[in-house]
Amino acid sequence: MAYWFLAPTVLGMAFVHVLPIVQGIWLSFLAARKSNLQLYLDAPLPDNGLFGNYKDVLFNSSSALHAGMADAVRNTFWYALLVTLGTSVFGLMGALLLHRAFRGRSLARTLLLFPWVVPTYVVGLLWGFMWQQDTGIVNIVLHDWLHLISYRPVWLLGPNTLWAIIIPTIWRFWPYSMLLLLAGLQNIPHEVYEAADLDGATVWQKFRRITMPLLSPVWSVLLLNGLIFNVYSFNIVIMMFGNGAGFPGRYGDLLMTAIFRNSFQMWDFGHGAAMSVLLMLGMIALVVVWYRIFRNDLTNE
Amino acid sequence: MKIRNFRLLCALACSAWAVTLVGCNGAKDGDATDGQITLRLWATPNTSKPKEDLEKVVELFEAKHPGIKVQVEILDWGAAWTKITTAATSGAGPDVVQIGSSWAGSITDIGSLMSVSDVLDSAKKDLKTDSPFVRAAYVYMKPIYSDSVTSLPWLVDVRPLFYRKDVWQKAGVDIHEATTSWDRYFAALDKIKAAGVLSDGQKVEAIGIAGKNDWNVVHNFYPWIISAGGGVVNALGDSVLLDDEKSVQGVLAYLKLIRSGLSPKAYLEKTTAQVSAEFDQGRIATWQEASTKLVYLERPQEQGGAGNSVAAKNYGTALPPVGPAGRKLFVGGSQLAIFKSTSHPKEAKELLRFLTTDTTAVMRYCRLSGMAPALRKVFDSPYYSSNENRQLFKQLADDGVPYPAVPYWGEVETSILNTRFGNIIDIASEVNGKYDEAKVRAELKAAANQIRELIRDQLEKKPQYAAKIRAFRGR
Repeated sequence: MAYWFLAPTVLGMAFVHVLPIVQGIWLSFLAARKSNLQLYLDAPLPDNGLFGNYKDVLFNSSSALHAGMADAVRNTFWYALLVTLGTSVFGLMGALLLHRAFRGRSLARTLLLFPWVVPTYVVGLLWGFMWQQDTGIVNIVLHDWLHLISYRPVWLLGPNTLWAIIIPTIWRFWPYSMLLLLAGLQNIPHEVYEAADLDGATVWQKFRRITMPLLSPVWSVLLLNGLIFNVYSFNIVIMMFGNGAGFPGRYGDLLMTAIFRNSFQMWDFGHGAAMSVLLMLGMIALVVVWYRIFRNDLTNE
Repeated sequence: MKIRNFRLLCALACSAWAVTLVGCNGAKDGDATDGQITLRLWATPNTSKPKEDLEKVVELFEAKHPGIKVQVEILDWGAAWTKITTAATSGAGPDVVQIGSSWAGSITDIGSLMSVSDVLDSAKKDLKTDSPFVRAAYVYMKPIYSDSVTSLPWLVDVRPLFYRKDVWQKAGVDIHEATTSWDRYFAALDKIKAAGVLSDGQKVEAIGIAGKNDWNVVHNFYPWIISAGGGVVNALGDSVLLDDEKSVQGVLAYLKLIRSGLSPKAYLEKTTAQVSAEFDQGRIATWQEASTKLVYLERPQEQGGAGNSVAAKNYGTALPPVGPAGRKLFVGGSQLAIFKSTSHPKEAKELLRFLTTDTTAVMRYCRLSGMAPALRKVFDSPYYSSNENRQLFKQLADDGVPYPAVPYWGEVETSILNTRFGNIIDIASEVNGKYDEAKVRAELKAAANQIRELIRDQLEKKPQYAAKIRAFRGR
């Protein structure tokens, strides 16, 4: 009987997840392009063999996907790493703040959650205006009001573009980390801290020896979640740079925006699927490594 | 108990299927009910009130054809390509569809557009002319690899220069004289910059050049490349011109507008709409944009325009500058086509013919949208011929050099040129080191090689294209 109740979920998962993944992997071996759209999964193999799409993406210097790949991989690596770290650190700071009892805590919690409720495409659009060199609020505050910098930087061109996409992403997603870490903090028994106080532990010692280890199930999951989510990040960048019309530049292009622009937008499913499969394999490897490192941290026993 | 559970399960399964089937309502497009035929028309937002304004034109057709109702559906530009190509391959689309001119080659190649050569022939007969449309639009009607006419031109995207008459006058330069050559153009812009003209107390820049964050990147570079005598690919689309020295010189000339400070580097972070707003607010003396800007400048602010602005009170239009190879202009626009899957081909052709060749209909829509008409006769109207700002639209349309109507133009423009020109803008902005011409040339070379590879791949996969090109060359 239990299997019957599980059946709808399993069927649903199969249709929504498994089938599309299998289709995508199948497509990655086909020369599925705009010119043979109607063939779709019956499209022929590429001229350069079964792994032709993979060879093009990885080695063919004339392929649009390959041409920008090194920049996209570099940008995605730093973006995923710094956003994950940033959201975790700010999330922890917010959680520690809200874990204390103080007047106005409920209001503070509501205000701190505000970025989380703003849709990501709105974040991308808004920050695209905020970063502008001459009229953007960021430069007005940093240069005109606070005099922290001696000139107005260009944020949306050149290497600064990476910061221009990292900072709004941290801004948007740190409340999520804060909520999870706050829940984790609230699950740590008070008696542990009381015992530490009796032993004369300092604040820093309690944080390092009690709080962080007992939060490990939360922040290890946050780390994995953050890395995967940020590697697949798309919305904020695509909206900040012309809603898919523009090119984020050598320092703003991420793997997902590069794949979208150079393949799926052109209905080049074969190459797009090949790149997506390579990305999926990379993420599977990351999960394996993560599990090996953090499997003992998934409980706080 | 087991039988009861089984029956319960069967009932649940049947309910689930019923719910699923209800969601798959397969109401056919263009249904005929009670003797009335409904045609579906897909269009992109060409005006500020797209559905309402297009219906003002469509009602003229419905008045002449009482048995036909036209249902207008507006597609956002961002989703239009996906929806149209999905409809093209699935067969579940509208009867008549607006397609961007540069898409005509790709969508024709999919094989889902009906031949409308007969519509064109009867239009020529009725209008008593062999060329009822502006010259630049013909290339899209019958794309290079097509055996028949698959779309008719509807609207033309022409791009005049918009300039501040008062600022140019204060700087002591005349735009019509300045645009007779690149050297004179740069000299005039230098004079405007040196004059330091103020407007409403704010500094006026000589010219505005937008960055890489919208669709216009390629359209902005293109006129400079072709005016230098270069190109991206040749007219047949089988040979690459982008790394020819003339093309490179065209790109370098365009970059000079940025590098010499005539346009602020801060504008390179902005989209076309944002820089256009700078012109409206009086901060730019010269700006190039689609003719739709005229409608916006003429419309009062209460109706969402810039009619009361300092720019609106002092602007004029002019032809873009003449390059070493002459005055070569970007021209785009939209075509109207019929899907083969239509259930009402005769009526769809009537609608297509009406929208593209009825002078009143075309005039009405062009007045609402600000786009120029593809139908040549409409330019005879005083709305164009007697208006000093619109007079040059006909020349802009006729002298325009369209992109080649090849199936792979989309990949060339979006995947290759957008990226490479974006990198070139970064080089010109000097945010990552001093400007280096060698880097610009390297980007153009890389783009040219990518395009060559793309063409080789396309011609290998479709030998009939190569045969057609040989036939063209043999003429």
